[in-house]
Amino acid sequence: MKFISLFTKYDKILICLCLLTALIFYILFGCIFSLGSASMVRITVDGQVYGEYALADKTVDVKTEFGHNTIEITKDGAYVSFADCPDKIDVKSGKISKPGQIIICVPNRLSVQMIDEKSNVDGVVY
Amino acid sequence: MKRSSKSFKLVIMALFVAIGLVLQYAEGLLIVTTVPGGKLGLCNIVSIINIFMFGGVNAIGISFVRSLLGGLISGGAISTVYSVAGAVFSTVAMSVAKKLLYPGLSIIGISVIGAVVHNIAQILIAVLFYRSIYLFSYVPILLVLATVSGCITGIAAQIISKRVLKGELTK
Repeated sequence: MKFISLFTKYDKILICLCLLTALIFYILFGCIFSLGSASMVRITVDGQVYGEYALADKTVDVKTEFGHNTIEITKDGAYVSFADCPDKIDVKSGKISKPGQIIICVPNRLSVQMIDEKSNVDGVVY
Repeated sequence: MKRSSKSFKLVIMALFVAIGLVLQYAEGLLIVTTVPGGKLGLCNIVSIINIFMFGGVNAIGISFVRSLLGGLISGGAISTVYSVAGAVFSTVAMSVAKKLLYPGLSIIGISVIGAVVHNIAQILIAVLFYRSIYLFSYVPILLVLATVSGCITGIAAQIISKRVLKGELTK
């Protein structure tokens, strides 16, 4: 009870607003990005497309000047199995399968993304 | 040295840079999060206390120096950019919030604002680097995490202000 009394009325309103915004964004992105099913995996390095792969069991080794990552592609998704970056956030991200889902590795400037060839939001890049 | 002298203030501010640096580094070592990019943001506590003790401009300076050094210690040039952007933008937002909304909004509310702005700034930088709007799909989860961690650091700052600084902060 002591901690609850620390919050003022406006604090509670602010916290509710933040959580509400998160919920709205979640539903919004769910609607935009999850239409259809993913058919391809796109790997980019430093903003440039490194390669696009169809969903089939395959291992892709990405060795560039920025670092070394190993991406495992399966029939229903993709995940990063090895990275030489210090934080390993991309490995911890786990598997992605829905269109629009993305794994990024900041130190190695790598991104792995599920894409849907038919989706109309696929081309939005600036 | 007189407590009111300029050099005393400078020494204390330098100490806060050191405290923030240790918190930032220790957090990276000790606290393992399962969500990518999720962090507690312990140095947020230092930023809030600085805003109340030295005013917004000095607090922004302290945050800038702390995040610059912290980024260089724990990573390369790119993680330094993220670190500096997050820290500076969140301190600016908290200073403005303190000026306009305090005391209607308590330290906890200010801390939540800081945490949210920290994450949004880092996502915007990531969007600039990766040129992909898909990164915005991280926004909901990071917003929830920021709200929770903002509350935790806010409560911590509140306790420090009451126990350690004997209420000097909120006078």
